[in-house]
Amino acid sequence: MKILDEIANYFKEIGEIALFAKRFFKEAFKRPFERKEFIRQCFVIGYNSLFLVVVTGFIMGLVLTLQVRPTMQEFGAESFMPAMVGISIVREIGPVITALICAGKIGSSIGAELGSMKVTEQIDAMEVSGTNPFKYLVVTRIWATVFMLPMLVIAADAVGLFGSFLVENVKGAVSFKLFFNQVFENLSYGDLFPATIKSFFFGFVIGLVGCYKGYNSDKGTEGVGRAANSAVVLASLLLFIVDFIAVFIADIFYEI
Amino acid sequence: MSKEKSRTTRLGIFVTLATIIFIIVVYNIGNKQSLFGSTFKITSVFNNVNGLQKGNNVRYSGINVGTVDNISFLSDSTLRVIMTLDKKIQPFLKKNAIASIGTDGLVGNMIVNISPGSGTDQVVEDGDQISSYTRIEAENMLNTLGQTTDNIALLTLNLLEIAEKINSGEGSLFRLINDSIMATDLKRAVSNLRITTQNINTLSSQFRSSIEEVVQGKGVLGYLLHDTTFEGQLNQLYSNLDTLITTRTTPILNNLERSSLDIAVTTNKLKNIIQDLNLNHGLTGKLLYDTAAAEDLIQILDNLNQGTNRFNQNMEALKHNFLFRKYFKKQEKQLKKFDKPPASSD
Amino acid sequence: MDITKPYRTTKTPLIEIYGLRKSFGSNEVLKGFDLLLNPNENLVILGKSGSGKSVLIKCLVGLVDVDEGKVIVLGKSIPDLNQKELDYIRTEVGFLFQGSALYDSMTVRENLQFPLRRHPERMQHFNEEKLVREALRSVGLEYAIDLMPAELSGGMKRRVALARMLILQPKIILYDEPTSGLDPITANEIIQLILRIQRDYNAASLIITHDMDCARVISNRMIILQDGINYAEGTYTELSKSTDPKVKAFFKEVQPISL
Repeated sequence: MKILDEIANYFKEIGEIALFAKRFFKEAFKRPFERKEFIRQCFVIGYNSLFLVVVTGFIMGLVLTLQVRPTMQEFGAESFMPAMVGISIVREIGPVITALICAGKIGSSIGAELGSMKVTEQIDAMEVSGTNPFKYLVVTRIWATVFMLPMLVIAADAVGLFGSFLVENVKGAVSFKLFFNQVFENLSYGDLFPATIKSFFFGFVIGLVGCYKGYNSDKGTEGVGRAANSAVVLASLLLFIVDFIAVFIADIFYEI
Repeated sequence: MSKEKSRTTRLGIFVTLATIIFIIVVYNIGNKQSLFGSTFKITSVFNNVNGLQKGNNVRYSGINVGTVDNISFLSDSTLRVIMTLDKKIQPFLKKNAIASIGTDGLVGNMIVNISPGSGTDQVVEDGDQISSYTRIEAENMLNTLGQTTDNIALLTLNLLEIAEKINSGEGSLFRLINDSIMATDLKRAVSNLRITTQNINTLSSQFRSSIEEVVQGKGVLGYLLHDTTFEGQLNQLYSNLDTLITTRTTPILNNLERSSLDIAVTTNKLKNIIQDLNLNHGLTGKLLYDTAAAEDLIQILDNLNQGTNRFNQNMEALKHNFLFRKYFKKQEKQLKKFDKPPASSD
Repeated sequence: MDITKPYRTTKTPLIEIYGLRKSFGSNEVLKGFDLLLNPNENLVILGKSGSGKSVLIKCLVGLVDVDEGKVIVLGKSIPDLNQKELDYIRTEVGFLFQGSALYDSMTVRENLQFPLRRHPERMQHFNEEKLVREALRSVGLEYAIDLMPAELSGGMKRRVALARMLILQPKIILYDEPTSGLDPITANEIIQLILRIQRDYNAASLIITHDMDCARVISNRMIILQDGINYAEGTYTELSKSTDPKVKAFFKEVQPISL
C-alpha cells in the first residue's frame, strides 16, 4: 500500500511538473516581459556560475587527456588525441558536466530562494502588489537558465579544450595551431548543433525543476531545505533522461 | 544603480565572448565544409565510387580544397560525382586534371584526389567535367601480390627440386669422379658452376631490385609493400633463395666437383630471358600505376616461372642426356682405347 | 462600471463577507463567516492559531480561492473578477504580511518601488523617488533607503513593510498579526504607527491578531473567530465583560504555573 502511494505520488509529481511547464509556456511569451529581472537573473545564473564552470571545464579537459593519452599511445594513436578529446568534450562531456554542476549550483539556489520567498509570503506580497509572481520569478529564471546554460557550456568547452591542449603541448609537443586545427578538422555541425540544442533543454530542465520545487515548497524552514535538495536530485535525474533522448534524436537526424 | 550597471556590463561581456566563441567554431567547421566563401563546382565520372559519400573531402595535390557535393547515377555503370571546391584554387586547376578515389590512410575515410595533369591546359571553369581514373583497389592489389608470392614460392620449390635431383644423381656422378680423365673436365665444370651460382645470385639480386622498384613505386601498392609483414615475407624469400644457393648448391659442388659449361649456358639463357622480360616490359614503378602493369607483373612472374621450369628442364637434359651421353661417349672412347693398343701392337 | 475610477462612498461598507466557507482537504476552516467593514473603522479579528484568520484576509485579496459565500470588496465580488480587475482592487487594499515579507534580494528602495512598477497611472503626478522617500519618512526610516532587508531589525522590517504598503495609498489596510515576533516595546511602536497611519491616511483597517494589548488600543470593534464562524462581536469593553467561557479565554491573564 505504501509502495502504491509512492508510485501514485511519483506520477502526481510528474503531472504537476508538466502543468507547471505548461503554465510557463503560457506565460513565457505574454507581455509584459520582466526584462530587468531577466537580466539580473542572467547575471546571477550565468555570470556567477562562470568561474565554477570554467574551473571544472579546465580540469575536465586536463584529466580526460591525461587519462586517455596512455591508452591511445599504446595504439600509437596519439595523433588522434585532439580529435577524440574535441569530439567527446563538445558532444557530451562539456554539456553534461556543465549541466550537472549548474543543477547543483543554480537548481539548489533557485529552489532555496523561491522556497524561502514562498515561506515568508514574499510571493503573496508580490501578488497583492499587482505583479504576477509567476512571471516575475519563474518565467525570468527559466528563461535565464535556458539562455545562460549554452553560454556556460561554450565557455566550459573552450576552457576544457584549452586544458587538453596544455597536456598535449607538454607531453606530445603539439602546437596550439595544430591542436585546434585537428579539433576543428574532426568536428562537424552534427557534433556541434545537437550539443548546443541539448544545452538549451538542460537549462530548461534546471530552471523548471528548481522553480517548481521552490514555488511549491512546504511551509517552514525545513521545507526550504527540502525544496533545494529535491530540486538538485530531480534536475540531475531529468538531465540524464533528456540527454538520452537528445542523443537518440540526434542520431536520427545526423548519421554518425 | 552603478552596481547594477557594472553587473549588466560583466554579463554582457560574458555573453558576447561566449557568442563569439560559438561563431568562431561554427565558422571553422563551416569553412572546413566549404560552406562559406565563394566556391565553384566541377564534376567527374567514375565507374565505381568505392563507398565515397557526400561530404567527403576533395584533395588537390594533397591539400583539402573542398567536399563531395553529390553523387548520382549517370547510367547503369557510370556515376557522376559533383564536387564543391574553394574558388581560391580555381586558377591552379587545369582542365586536364585527373580525379581519382582513394582512402585517407589505411583505415580512413574515402577521399577524391585530384592530380594535376601533365603539360599546360586551360584553367577549369564552374561546372566543368574532369577526367577520372579508376585506381587499382587495395583488394585487387593484395590479390595480385598473393599470386606473386605464390609464384615466388613455386620458383623456390623448383630450384629445390633441381638441387635434389642433382643430389639424387649422385650415384652416377660419383662414378664419374673416379675416372681420372674426367677430373680436369669436371674441375672446369665446377668453375663453370661457380659462375652459374654467381649468375643465380645476380638473378636473385635482379629479382630483388625489380621488387625494390615495386617497393619504391608510389600509390596504394607502394604503401602496401611498405607494410612490414610483407617486407618480412620478401626477406624470407630472399633468405630462402640464399640458403638454397649456399647450403644446397655449395655442398654439392664440394662433394661432387662436377657439372659442365652448359649449365652456365643454360643459366645465361635463363638470365637473358629474365633480362628480356625486364627490358621488354619495363617493370618499373611508374607502370605499376595501372592494372595493365599489374597484369604484366603477373605475366612476368609467370614467365619467370616458366623460365625456371625451362631451367629445370635444361638441368634434366643436362643430367640425363648430356652428361650421360658424354659419359657413354667417354666409355666408348675408353673401350676404343683398350681395343686399339692390341690393334696397334699388331 | 469603469474600474479605473475609484469607487468611493462613505455610506456602503468597504468589505462585505456573507457565509464564507473554506476547507483544506477534509479540514473545514471557515464554516459560514460573516463580516462587514465600515469606512474609518478599525476592526480587530481575534482568534486562536489555526482558526483561519489568515485564510480569511487572504480571501479578501484573492490570494485564496473561496469555496462558498460572497466576498465583496469596494463593491466588487472578488471571486468573479478577472486578473486585471483584481490587480486594480489590490492597489486599493494594503496588506501587511505576518513576517513583513520584504523582498530579500532587493534594497529598501527597490522594495518600495516594487508596488509602483505595475501602476504607472499612480505616478502621473508624482516622482517615484519622492514617493519612496515620503513613505519612508512617514515610518521614520528615511536613512535606511539603501540598506538590504537582511541588515534591518525585526521592527525596522515591519516599518519598511508598512511603508511599502502605504506607497499606493490604499483605502483599506489588512494587517496580518502586525505585532507578532516583536518585543513589547517595538510592538508598541508599531501600534502607535498604525494609529497614526489610520489618522493620516484616513483608511479603514482590518487587523488580525491574538495580541490583546494591540486589540485593545487599536480596535473600534472586535470579532472573535471561533469554530469557523464569527462567534462574538462587540467593542473591547463589551467583550471583556462577556461571560462566555470561550470569549473569556481570550481576556484571561496568563497565570504563572503553580508548582
